[in-house]
Amino acid sequence: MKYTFKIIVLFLFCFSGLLTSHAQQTRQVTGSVLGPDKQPLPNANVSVKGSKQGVKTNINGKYTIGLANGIQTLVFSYVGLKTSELVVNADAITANIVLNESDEQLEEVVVSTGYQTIPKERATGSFGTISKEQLGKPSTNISSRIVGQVAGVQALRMDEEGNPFFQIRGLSTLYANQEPLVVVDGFPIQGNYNTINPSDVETITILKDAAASSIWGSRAVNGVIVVTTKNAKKGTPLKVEFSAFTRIGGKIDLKYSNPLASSSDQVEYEKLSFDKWGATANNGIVTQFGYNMTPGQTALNETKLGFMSPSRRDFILDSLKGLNNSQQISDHLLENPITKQYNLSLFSSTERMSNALSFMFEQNQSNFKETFNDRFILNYRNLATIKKWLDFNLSTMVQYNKFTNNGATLSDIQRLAPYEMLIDPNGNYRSTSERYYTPLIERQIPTQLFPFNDWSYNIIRETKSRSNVNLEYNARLQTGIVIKPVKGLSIETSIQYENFNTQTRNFDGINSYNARITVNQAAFWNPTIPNAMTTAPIPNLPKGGILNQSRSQAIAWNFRNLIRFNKTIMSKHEVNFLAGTEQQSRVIQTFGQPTTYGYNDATLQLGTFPNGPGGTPVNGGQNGTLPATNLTIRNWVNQITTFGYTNSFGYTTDRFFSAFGNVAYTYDSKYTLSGSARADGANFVTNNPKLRYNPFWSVGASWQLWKEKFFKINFIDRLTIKATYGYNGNQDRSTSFMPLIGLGATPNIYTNQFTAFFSSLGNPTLRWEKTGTANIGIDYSIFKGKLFGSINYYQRRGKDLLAFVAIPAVNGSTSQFLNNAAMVNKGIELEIGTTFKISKDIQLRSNLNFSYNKNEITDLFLTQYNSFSLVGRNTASYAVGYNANTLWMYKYMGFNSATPFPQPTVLGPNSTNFDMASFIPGDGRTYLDNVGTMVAPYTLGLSSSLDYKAINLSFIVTANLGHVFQRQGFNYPVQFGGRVLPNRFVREILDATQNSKSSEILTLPTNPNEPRFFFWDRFYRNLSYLGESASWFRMQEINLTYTLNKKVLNKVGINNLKAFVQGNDLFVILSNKYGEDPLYALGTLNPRPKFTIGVKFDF
Amino acid sequence: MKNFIDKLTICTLLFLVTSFSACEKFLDEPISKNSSIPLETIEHLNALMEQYGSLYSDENPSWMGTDDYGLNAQTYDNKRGNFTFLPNIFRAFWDIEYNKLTANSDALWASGSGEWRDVFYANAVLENLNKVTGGTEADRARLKAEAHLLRAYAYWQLANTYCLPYTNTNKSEMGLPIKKSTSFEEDLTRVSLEETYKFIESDLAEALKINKPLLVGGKPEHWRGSTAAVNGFAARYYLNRNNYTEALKYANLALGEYSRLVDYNNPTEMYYGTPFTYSVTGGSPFTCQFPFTHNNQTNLVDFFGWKEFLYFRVQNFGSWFYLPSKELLDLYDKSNDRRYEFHIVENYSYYFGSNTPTNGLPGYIFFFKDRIPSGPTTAEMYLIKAECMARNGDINGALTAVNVLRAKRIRPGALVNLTAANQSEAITKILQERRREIPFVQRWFDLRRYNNNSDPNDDVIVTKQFYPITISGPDVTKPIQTYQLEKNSRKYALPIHNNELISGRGKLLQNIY
Repeated sequence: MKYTFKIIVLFLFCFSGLLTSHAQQTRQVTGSVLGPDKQPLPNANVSVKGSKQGVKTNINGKYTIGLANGIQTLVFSYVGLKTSELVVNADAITANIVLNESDEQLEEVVVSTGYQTIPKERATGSFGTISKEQLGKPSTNISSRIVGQVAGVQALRMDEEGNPFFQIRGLSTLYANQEPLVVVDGFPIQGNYNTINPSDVETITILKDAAASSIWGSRAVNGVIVVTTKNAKKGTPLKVEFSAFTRIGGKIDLKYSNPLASSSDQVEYEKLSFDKWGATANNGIVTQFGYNMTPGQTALNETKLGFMSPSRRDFILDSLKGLNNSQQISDHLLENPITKQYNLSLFSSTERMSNALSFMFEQNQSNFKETFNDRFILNYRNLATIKKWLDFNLSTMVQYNKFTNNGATLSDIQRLAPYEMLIDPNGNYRSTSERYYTPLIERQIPTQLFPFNDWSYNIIRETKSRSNVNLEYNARLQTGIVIKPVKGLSIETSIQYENFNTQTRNFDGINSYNARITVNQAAFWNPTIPNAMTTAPIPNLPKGGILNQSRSQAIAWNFRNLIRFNKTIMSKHEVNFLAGTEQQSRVIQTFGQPTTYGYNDATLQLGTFPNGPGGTPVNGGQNGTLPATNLTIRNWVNQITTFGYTNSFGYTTDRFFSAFGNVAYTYDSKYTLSGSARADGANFVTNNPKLRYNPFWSVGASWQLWKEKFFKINFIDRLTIKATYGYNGNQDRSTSFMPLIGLGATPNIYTNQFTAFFSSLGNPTLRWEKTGTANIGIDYSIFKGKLFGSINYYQRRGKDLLAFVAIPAVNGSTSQFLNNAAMVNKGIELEIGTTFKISKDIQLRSNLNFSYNKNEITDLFLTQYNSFSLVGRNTASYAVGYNANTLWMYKYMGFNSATPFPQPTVLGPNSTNFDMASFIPGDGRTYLDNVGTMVAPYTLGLSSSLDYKAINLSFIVTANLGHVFQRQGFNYPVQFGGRVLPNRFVREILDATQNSKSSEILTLPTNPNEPRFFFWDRFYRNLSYLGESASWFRMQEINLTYTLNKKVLNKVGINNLKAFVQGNDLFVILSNKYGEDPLYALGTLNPRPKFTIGVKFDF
Repeated sequence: MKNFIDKLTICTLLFLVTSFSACEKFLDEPISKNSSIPLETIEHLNALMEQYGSLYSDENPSWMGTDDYGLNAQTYDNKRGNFTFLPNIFRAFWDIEYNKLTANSDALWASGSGEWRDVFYANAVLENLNKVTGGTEADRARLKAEAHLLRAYAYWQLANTYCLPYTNTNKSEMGLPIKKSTSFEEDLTRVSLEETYKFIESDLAEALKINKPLLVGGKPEHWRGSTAAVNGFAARYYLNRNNYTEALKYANLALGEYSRLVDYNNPTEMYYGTPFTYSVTGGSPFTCQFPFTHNNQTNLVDFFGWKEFLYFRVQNFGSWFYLPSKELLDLYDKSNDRRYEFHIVENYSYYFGSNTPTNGLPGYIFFFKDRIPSGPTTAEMYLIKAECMARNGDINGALTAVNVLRAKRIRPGALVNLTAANQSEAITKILQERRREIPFVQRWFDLRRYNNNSDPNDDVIVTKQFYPITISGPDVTKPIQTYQLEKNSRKYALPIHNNELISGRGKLLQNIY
């Protein structure tokens, strides 16, 4: 509290700085400021170098400023143009200037490690930066601006919005955290990119090698993404920026996301598969209510059970063939995704203080009706020079997000048969059958006697009967002071405090199926008593809506002290030194509330359990009756049931203590040596506190070869050679030397005692994961800056990686999570940039990056490599000597000659063919097909921008090459207690069966009673003919921006106005001929082309 | 300048003080309040022993090697798809070679709920008992005895499955590695059988010090160690060692504390549960009747409520098909033995889609489809008591004891009471009763002791008719062959899974065949 008060006082104090500005004047200097087009620039900044004095030009680009006597230097700046200085002689009274376009690539690029900003030229490490041009484009998530921009930064996965999950320089850990660290304004942040207002971002630097990132020690092994936010440039009286855009995308492509068979194929397959291939029979007895079937299967089964005549069945099946629900799904459940974003920023500064305030509001409509969200982010940032030796900074972020998730999901849609209409011809909701076997409910259950007599389910109605809302309240505060006791030395203390809260409230209204069916199924009813059909059930739950609520809170703070020393000694020796300590703490609490039954949102009334919540006293089974003395309650099919009524809580604490240092020495601005070290300690469970720490370090060197006198290659402008080596880490605190336990939250319902379980049996090898990275690179610029970029080669060797390692079962487990694995990543990265002035009006800028990565697990102790594990992907398929992302598949060998029914086979050990009735024994590595790696070894990114007068056309193309994926094939559905929904490949299979192609492709069972057909699902996805090249080229983005004529703008007081049209996810070129996008498997949501229009202006 | 020095000093001091103060304490904060926590209090140890979910399941595969299991060429051909579990078939036919290739590891030796995990639980309690806070001396003594029972029980199961029977000639054969702590560094060498049994006996001696009744507030706490549980296990142990006097002593002690039997003749104690109707190819639908204990798969109420448990242990079989052999079925009086009525479910194979009338096979059903009581029960105590008395020559006492049990199992009438003209007949009849009462779970252990006791009359040579087995399963194209498990076959020690030998890195040795 005291602390908060201090902050407020400081805050007010800083604002007061806005009012103080004064200077001595002795002479008036006037002049005009013109732009590159020789047009006057209004509102350009004119300031006096070395003082806090500044003015702005008027609408005609003219200014007047009072200057002290003597020679003075004026600094002219204007957004988007190159800042220029002009020396004003002692007697001059006019000073005119023409400001040129800023030429970013030729400007000195700086990189930020989060702790310090260094000129790229002097950096020894491998950094990637995102250009201002890219950052200026519209986005809802800043991470999407990184895609395709930096070599070695691969978007491993992207969600359907195109938001990426990055992997930097390959996989660096097998089981621990795989995400890059995100640092905003010097602090790692809680929450993700969503808490960053994209319009606020000034720079993004990506730290790729040890020298770049080792300052982040144990958290840096996956690379670091450093974001800095905008602040007012010195001498800005007030600048207002406003931007707004609307993005609209196409509706979900159901053919891709729900690749079902056509209605007639569906019916054909239903007939073909009915009661065959080991199908379990639905006998129509009451306990099989959950054995739901498609309407087609239902008709077949009803006829079999004798409830429907064959002619009626055939009539129904024929009529189903003619129906198709995709239009109804599209009309009633799907929506065009739309995003509207508005952003307002205010910047103001004096010589001693700068303020930046931004506010963003965004509205998103998802792909599904009734699912949408609103986001608000407010940012304020302040920098103040309180005294010559004392700086103060403060920034805050306040965010409110509201997510409404009432809509259908893709899996809701995927449960429907293609002919299952949602709306009947009269316009009413049709009940669909994917919840239970409808005729059975109608025939054998007195539905009218249950609390709710309506048992129907309709997804459209469901989306309108519920209210599922997630709320996020997030706040972040960063503040610090910088003390500069002497030139070159500064001491900084800073703190970041974050408080993130999430509330979830899911309410199923009284009309929702979920509420109705939960209450009905909880009622006690005994189907086996003689007069069951006329016996009313005894309700065990109150009639009404059902409410579930939970919340979570994360409170994190980070306290840091730093000493910096930067000094140039005798003009040739430049030293940069940084040392500091940091304490971090993060507490995450979760709270789950018990389900509220019988809830009425209008009156806030709720029900109680009329017969108690159940629970099972240990006194044996009962004979189908409900004795008064027995607390055990039973449900609508006479099964024992209980209702949860307890809260749940979680509380975890992450703590770190770190000490770190970094020193760089440059001689003669040619030779730089750098070194850094960091020790991290975390709150591991251990007897020996020393083991909590682990040191990480790096060394690096760079040589500015081009500055040497002997360097005389004309076409080379710049050439720097760099080499670094060092270690990063990763940590997982779930293990300890000793066994660890978890505690059950509530007493066991049978024993009424608390229980505990072993969460870890112990990890005697416990230590931090370590990855040693060596990097050699050159930075170059040739042909007078026309081509520039870098080439890097790296090797990253991870050791002591945590993995599930085989141990003898005598120790209590056959595998244990131990620091015992090793992995290597090797790669090459190449970046080529170009700026090319084709004519006076036409300029081309391009950036091409290319990277290659090879991954191999070099140590991992397992006793067996079962084929079923290897084809299981991800962690299950880790094998020594192979890429961690290897795709293993069964080699399909066609049908054998077994009599009377040939069986499909795959290759097994000893070149023997095995049928698919059981798992294949032996070492899978010896007989499975190693199809390739599922993560692209080659990645390409190309962004280009063409300027013609006021028009800018730019695009981003990305490509991933050389990897493989498993395409979707037929799904071999079996009538096994559920609905049969063949996908569209059923045609291929039916045709293949007809044309006797079963040696090439897995066709249907030859035995009508094939009992192991259900087991084929362990194989059919993983047959090697489904392995395909995954390579793709993606047109990520095309943007057309028009910058309005300044002459026109100036009249309305606007400096800069840009209008733009942008297209994202426009198309992708695939190397497989099946049209399946490896990033988005067939049957999942894939991003549809999206178009954005918007404006951006400042005044 | 002085001003500057002052400022610098203040800043440096501030810096140092705020940075380094109490950082050890800072990192001592536990990472969670309820997960990943070390064993610190006696409540933690107690809560571990309450974790019956990890401890109650015995997935002992050895029963498939007995003559209770009805898998033969004919039942296999009936519906091969029902018996695809290769390792099960190998074990049923004592096939050692292909054990190495089996995809699944051995559940008793090497699964998360296997016996070595139980040993780990016991060792975690034992090594932390004197380190944790809280609790009285009595609490500690009780936990200690309970942990020793847990470890003894696990070792006994392992020794009787993976090692040869403990006889004078086998004393120096390979036993088991001795695990006394939770460390992964302990020696994996298999000590001799003699040393292994000494270890079990020392654990049993510690366990016998337990001072906790089975009934607490009238409710049996059978999932925890108790005097009745330890005595019940001791009775089983000594019977297995052919020490009838000791076995009888402990059976009597156990029954003295708790002797409740479920009366199969009482319709409120034993009755049919929810029936299931299966369609029959070429016939009218057939309704299978199951015992009420079949009703719940996940709900433990019927297991927990089974009134005969002294120590809650259940044999688990994931393939859900305890197929009784014809020999076993023939032992039952089909019209009067209620155990046949309730536990032998006729045409159970219909459940697996084997639904033609000629293919109907019965199944032995106890709890749901997969579990049978395997821990010491009151029923087992009566059988031990009867057998020990008979073997010690007390024929009348023996028959009285066994008839107490039969009264609860056989329809009332003249057939209830067993009679015997001499000792040998009494023993034979009691052993038959034993087989009817506890098929599958005790048979393997019984075969081992019958073949190694002084009585030659109870010896059994198990033979089976089946196809030759190849790497890809039974080779049905080859003629059926006869497998025979000789009296003193080394195959009575099941092979240790190949994976274990690999992860044992040369220290853990395979049985010699």
